[in-house]
Amino acid sequence: MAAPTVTLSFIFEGDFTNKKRNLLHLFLEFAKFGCFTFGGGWSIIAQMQQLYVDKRKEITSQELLDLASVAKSLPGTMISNVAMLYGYRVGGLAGGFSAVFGMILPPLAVILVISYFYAAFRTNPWVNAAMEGMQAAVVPIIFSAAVNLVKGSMPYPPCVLLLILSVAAYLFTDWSPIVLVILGVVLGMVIGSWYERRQPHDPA
Amino acid sequence: MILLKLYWSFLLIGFGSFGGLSMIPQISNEVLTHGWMTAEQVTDIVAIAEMTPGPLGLNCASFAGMQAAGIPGAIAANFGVLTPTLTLCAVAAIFFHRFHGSRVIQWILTGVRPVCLGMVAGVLISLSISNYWSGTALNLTGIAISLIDLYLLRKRKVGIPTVLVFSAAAGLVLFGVLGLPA
Repeated sequence: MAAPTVTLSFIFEGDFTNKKRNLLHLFLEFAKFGCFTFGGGWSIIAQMQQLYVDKRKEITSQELLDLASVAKSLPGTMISNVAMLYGYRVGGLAGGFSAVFGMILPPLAVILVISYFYAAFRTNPWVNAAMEGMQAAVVPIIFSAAVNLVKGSMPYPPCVLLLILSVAAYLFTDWSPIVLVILGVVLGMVIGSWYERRQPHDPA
Repeated sequence: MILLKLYWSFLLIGFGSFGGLSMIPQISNEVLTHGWMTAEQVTDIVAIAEMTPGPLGLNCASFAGMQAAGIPGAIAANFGVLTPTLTLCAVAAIFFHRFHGSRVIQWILTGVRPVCLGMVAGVLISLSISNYWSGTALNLTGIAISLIDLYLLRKRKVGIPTVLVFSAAAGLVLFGVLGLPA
């Protein structure tokens, strides 16, 4: 009787060392992220970095990059995957669902309203001028987050090579992200185990 | 019945794609064959999905669902796109949390982290080209706004919502009132 209870609580609640987060707070935090995610999955990473890494120091930028990597590797939209992974980390399955539904609510509400007068919305010069300005913010926001994520993410020289390779593949081939991720998994196993085996012989 | 069809179509889109623009061909294929949207509406929704917050795939789902069956349609289509997150990613979250510290996962991440950073760099380069180069001229006004944003983010530690609101206001003034070229 005791054993299954333990297993179930692990699945639904996780085994968290830190105190569990209030689900409503989590929902509202992700609802706020949802209001300001422009320009794809990396813009939510940038916001999470400001709140959870810089301000609250709940996770390290390395852990955030790990969540982003897993989210990017799975099917579905990266933003909702990140919400699920982070939500689970701090609040179990209920936390994951709270974060996902919090995140999707604002965009859904916006589309529901706009779909009634989208032709007018799309052709309005003032809307377009404001959007043009917001578009200019996307690159600096993602760039700033990426700069913070780089720190400590490439401990061995071949990792830098892998980074260059994946930039080139992203820009010049039409390989799906999953091909790149699988490449990363395989080469990561090789690089990681190789350097780990070398380490004991290395006094420094 | 239409709700189930919407759910199923967007479930296939969710599982068959990895987010972003890679979803567009699949979405356009599904909504056109079911007659939920016209080709012109598909072009419009891609533009609108990029102008409004939230992931492109979910925004397209909301819009197509709305066109096909109103608010219940939008919710059904959203659940379709979200199903991989609510199932596969939930399971992945459990295992990732459990085995994050293991040696093999750490090795794998040694390779996946650079790949992921490489993809961000790729996204940044292609976004920069499309945002700052019109094909014939540099978008100097856009570059100026971006540089101020970067200063606010890095040096003044300004929050992302504030930066977005500032940029929208700058766009209204520079592109709207002064009529500078984009």
